[in-house]
Amino acid sequence: MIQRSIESQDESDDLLPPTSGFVAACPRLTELTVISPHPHDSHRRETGALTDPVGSARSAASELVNACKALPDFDTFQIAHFPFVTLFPKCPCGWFLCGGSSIGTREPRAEQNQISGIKAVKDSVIDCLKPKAECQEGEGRKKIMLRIIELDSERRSPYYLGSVKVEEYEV
Amino acid sequence: MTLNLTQKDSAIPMFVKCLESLPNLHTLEIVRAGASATSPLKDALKRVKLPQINTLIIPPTAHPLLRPCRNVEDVVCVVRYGIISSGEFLGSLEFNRGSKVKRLVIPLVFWANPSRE
Repeated sequence: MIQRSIESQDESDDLLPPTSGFVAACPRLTELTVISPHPHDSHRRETGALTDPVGSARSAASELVNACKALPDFDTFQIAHFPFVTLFPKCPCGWFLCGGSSIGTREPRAEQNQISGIKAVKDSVIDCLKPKAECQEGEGRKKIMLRIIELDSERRSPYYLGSVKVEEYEV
Repeated sequence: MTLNLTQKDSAIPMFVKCLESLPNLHTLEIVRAGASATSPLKDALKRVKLPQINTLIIPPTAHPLLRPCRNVEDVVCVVRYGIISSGEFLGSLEFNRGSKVKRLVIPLVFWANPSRE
């Protein structure tokens, strides 16, 4: 559980990523979208404004995933910003997963992050999501769908461009 | 609805009254709210109920809005810059026991940068 102080102004509290407490607070949750650190935020990372984005993301992601699995109606887990999709478990059976705003070939800065275009990203994500042998489709398993969406890079929210869906296919 | 809370002292109480007078308002988006707006917002929302709102798109600093919106199903925590308190945001999220939130968008990593909002 998150080490939190609900009313605290303690500065250390500001450094915590969201963890299972957020999921526990929403027992009817069906869909969770986490906005990972954006690769374009690297300049902030260099200046120390962003604290250990990869490490924080990795630990928070694992905890969030496990917490969501326990919710009866939960079926959709989205990740914004592709590069951090690999931080998540490689066997998300029954989960929907979305890539993020770094996928666009129209995004010139993507090349700076060594992302050569949408196909490469899709291949990488599919590889990341391949079910393990023991998790092939069976009773109680849902299809794994991969939806790649384009986000509004300014507002960092899929809801602003919720209908702009680039790809959807089964893995 | 889009609102920019820049003149918090005078605008926030008026803003809350406005919300109460709009029974058909279902989506509220706060474009920007500095850290200094959080406390006045919290004060102004005491004893206020906004059951008509089902979608909140707010920066973390506007987390007190989660409390009167007991029927909210969609919560988008919009992050740009500034200090974000995960604990305070979570506290407001937990305020309504048996929360009806179905869709939640949150940043995976919170920032430790001085507020630039």
